[in-house]
Amino acid sequence: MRKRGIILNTAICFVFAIVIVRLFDIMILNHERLNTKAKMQQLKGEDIRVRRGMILDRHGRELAVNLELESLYCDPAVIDSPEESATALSSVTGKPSHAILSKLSSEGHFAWIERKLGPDTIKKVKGLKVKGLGFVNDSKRYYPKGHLASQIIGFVNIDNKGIEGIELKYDGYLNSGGGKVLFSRDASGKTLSQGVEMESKGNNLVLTLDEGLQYMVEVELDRAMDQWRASAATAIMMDPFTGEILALANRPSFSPNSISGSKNFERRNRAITDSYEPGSTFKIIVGTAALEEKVVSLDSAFDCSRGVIEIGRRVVHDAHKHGVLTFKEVIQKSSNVGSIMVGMRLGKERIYRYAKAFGFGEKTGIDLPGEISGLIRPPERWSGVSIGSVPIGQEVAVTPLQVLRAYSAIANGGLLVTPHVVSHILSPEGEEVWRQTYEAKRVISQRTAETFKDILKTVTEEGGTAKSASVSGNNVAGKTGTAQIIDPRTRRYSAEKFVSSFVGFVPADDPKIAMIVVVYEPKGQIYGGVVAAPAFKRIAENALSYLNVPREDSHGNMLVVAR
Amino acid sequence: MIKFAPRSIAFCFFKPLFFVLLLSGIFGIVWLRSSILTMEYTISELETKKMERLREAKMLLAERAVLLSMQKVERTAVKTLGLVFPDRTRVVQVKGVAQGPLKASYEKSRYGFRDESVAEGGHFTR
Repeated sequence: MRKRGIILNTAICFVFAIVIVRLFDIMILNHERLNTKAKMQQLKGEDIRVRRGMILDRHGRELAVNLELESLYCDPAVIDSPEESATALSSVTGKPSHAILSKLSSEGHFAWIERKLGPDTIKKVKGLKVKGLGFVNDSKRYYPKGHLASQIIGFVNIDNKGIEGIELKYDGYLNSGGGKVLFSRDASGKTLSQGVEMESKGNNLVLTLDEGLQYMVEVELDRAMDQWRASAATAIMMDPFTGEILALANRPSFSPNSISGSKNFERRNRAITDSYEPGSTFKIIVGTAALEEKVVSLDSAFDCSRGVIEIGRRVVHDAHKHGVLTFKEVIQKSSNVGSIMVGMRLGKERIYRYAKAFGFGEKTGIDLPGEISGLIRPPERWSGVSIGSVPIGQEVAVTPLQVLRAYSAIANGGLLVTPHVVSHILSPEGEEVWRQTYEAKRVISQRTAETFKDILKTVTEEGGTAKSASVSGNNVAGKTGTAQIIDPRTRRYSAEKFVSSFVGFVPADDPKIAMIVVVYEPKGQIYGGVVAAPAFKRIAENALSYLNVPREDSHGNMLVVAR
Repeated sequence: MIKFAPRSIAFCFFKPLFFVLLLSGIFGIVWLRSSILTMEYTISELETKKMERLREAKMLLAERAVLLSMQKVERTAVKTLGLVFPDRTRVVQVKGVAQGPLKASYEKSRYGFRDESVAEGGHFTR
């Protein structure tokens, strides 16, 4: 009996000794290695989902949002029969079988098969039950308005990095920091909550654009393109007092939802990246400078009866012979001869100084990428005939936005504003984190601006060059422009290719919108008053209704609603 | 320090109590730990559901944005409902003023009241 007891005790001690030795091995000798191994089994790292902020119009309407999709990857080492799997996946995803096969047969343990698949496709892929496939949550940038304002909003790449437009310019605000979170998981792979927010959202941008106005502008641009079979067109609508861009559109255009199908020239934001010779719309410079410098009065007479003027060897013509014109009529009828005479009275230094003051030859500072400064040569680099060219908008290169900004200065009483498209930025919780502050500098006196505004009003009246821009019930102030394009082959002005434009603001006495319409290479007609002015009129009429701006002749018909 | 004789009444009373407390303490800790673990599982499941709902919400937001786009609205208004963009000459402009009970009237030139009176509450009721 005692012997048995000794044997039993010895056996128990031996077993315990083995356990203790094993524990010593696990807990002391191989602690580091086994601890790492345990962590690898028990912990699962998961990326925090980084989601870009939304882009909204001025009324909070979504222009860019995120779709929650899934990306498909594979572990090639686990795939049993790559050929069969590739064929099956190809039938579901639509991707070529050979492309999928190359991924399934690649080296290593990870390869993307297809990024950002929709819920239906994911369901079908899961139904195939192919071993070695995995899914990762992913987001896709989606532009619910399609083509609308595409050149302003821009687009992102496959990794949701801004590539163009607002998406690029404000990428730092729209994106947010990511990171990784470690989750504990059990033997069955179930994870335990770590109480960490697994989604990191970027800030939301609120633009100055108004979707309604943008739509009106784009519809009319399409119409102008069709009507005049033009090569391109641009229109910008701006609040002349604040510089807020209310609408900006270019044609041709593209859909940011299918970038691969678009061409470079369709993505270009011509309103700020392309320059052109403005033609008569540039007469604002000599006109305002002459009034500001008191070189002319409204009734100063200019003999334009010959219809031509010689500057050195160059002869400049008027479109029609006008006779003797007052300064006011020179602008109203857009006389080249009269404008050159005014320019000669001013002299090249003053013309250059005012052109620079109005912001020509410099970037406007708009918060969009790719803006160019245009060109105006300093007086010392002017040729002998430049004084006959610059006053009528030749030998200068401007962007449509620069021209609109200059006319906005007339509309607002002489202040040059800074155009901008982002109004403010909101945190994901809806708190304001940044607001646009705009600067305005005085370029001409209020008196000169008011006087010139009255002159511009006559342009859309009987006898002016843009009667077709007049809006029923409201005065329009503006100016037409018809400029020849230099043929790159001959390096001379083309007799067939023109840029037609109209720039103005409405209602003239209390402007709510300033707008420019530029049509490149119209066919059939060339004059700004015929090609661009009607588009301006149609947009302005719709916009004034949309903005609830009353007709100036409807004081008796305003319904006053009070609470 | 209180000392008990090995077989005193107090010793007989506190010894089982000590074991009961010890056991219930151990049980409590185990139970608490297991409850926390269960709760972590529950939270994890709820978080997954929350992410699913958020995903659906985002898809719905995008769909709503598409449906409310000006192009869609105009197409529906013109083609389905037969509406037309109004002629400006037939539009009556509405001018909203101060808070208060709803009152409406045509502009001063027709009835001869001052704007201020309307802003203060007005004299004309619809």
